[in-house]
Amino acid sequence: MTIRRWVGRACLTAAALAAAAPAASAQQISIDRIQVHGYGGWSFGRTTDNLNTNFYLFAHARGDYFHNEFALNIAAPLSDNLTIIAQPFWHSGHHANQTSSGMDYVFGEYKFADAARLRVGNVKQTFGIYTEIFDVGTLRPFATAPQSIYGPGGMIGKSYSGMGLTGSIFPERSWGFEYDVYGGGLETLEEDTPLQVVTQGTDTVGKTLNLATSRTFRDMLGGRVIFRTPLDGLSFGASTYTGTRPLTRAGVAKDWRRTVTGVHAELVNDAWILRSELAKERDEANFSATGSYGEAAYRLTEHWQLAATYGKFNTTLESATAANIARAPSLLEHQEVAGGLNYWFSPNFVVKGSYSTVQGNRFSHPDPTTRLRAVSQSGALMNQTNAVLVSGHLSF
Amino acid sequence: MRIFRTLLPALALLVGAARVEAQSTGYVVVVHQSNPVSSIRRDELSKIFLKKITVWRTKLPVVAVDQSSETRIRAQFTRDVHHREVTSVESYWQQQIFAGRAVPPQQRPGDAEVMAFIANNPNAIGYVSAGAQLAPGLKVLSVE
Repeated sequence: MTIRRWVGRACLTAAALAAAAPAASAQQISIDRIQVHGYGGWSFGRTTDNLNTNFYLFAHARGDYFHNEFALNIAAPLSDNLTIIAQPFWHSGHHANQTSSGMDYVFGEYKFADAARLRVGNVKQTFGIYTEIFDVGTLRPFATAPQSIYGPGGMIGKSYSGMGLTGSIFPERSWGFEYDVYGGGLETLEEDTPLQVVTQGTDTVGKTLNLATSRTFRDMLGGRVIFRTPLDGLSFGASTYTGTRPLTRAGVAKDWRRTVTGVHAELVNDAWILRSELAKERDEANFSATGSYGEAAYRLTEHWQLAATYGKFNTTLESATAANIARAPSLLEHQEVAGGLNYWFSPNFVVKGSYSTVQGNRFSHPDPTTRLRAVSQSGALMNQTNAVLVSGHLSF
Repeated sequence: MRIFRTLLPALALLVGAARVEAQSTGYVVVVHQSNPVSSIRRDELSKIFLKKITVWRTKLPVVAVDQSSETRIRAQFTRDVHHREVTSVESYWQQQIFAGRAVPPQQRPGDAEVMAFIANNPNAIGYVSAGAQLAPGLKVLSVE
């Protein structure tokens, strides 16, 4: 059975289940049953070399004060088994007038049992450790999630549109098991202008850069399993998804498949956070990539926390000539070492400071709308970026 | 004799420490009188309050009710049952909430409010101070 047919049948099954579920249309719900939570934050970043034209995350040479975000999380239980969950967000970035808003996700969940819960709608993608809590600053030791997996390399999406099954099994005094399987359409987070610049080389006549910051994949299937060990806070997991996008490449129009597979390990207790992930991305259209990171954080006191991370993301670009790659190989590489010091006023409010050293220009490069191509071709690309990041995060 | 003289004070200290530990369990776990369950394991209790278990052995839904996070009884319950600090458990709930997976148990500010909640919810479970006068219609669960 093809994936497309599988997804179609799965949607029909979901529709039948929804019809069989207790009627919930226009159902009134007591306001005291609705739970409203939220998170927000402000971030500042400045690169330490005034001559460096690279942008990394929210940092550049002049300093960027305008990154703010806020989101509400609303859970409305219509019955013991049926819950509607939505998360609208607002975000501003780079310039004060660059704002965006929308829905992170909105979906319905019908619980047959703890081991089987059906989710339909625009649902958080479950991949690795951070996708489900991508923007929540109070749940990570640094201002952002590790870029080697969660950066704009196309490894993950924020949410998928479709349906999925999730569940957990926690036997007595034993390992716990959680799973997710899902299918539908997925919008990935990626900015691949560095790859386009390498592919084009100096042959840029009549060519423009596609500045899109996401790609849409169809007929997507994915899943994640997590094993929770009897040692409190220690877990291991594996994730994968695959999907296609129609594209004309080298004169060939077809559905090109992307597959991403990853593994992760995590230890979280009162004092320590230790996390590590490794993921491989294979895009039939033109590239493959490997990302990995290790992250450690230690609570010195109730309030002070030290953090350190190392991450690496390497791209192999199949559509570029060796000569073009040799012109700016750093556009395919990213390596980051960072250290941070955080002050937690409470679990819901934290101020973070960190210093990052980035080697490579895959994620740290000049503005692609104006300078990336010219700087790369002139050989003036700065391979190293040092940045100071300061941020405040809240949640409730 | 000399050995006994040496060991006795140590024994007395150990017995004293055990008493202190028993007394420091300053809460009791309570459910509705109609609930057929009479005892519960610590790990089971932890999973119920973390919503990893959401039904009783009778297959009826569990409704856990917590005390406010600033209270001493909540801190003690969290250390004894979850083997964690309250801040750690709050981070766990943030993760569950923003992943769209679960919301924390309802909170009540004190013993009286917890008991009133359980009295009105036959499937509820909570904890109150060991010295609190138990409201009619409630019973104490023994924790194994």
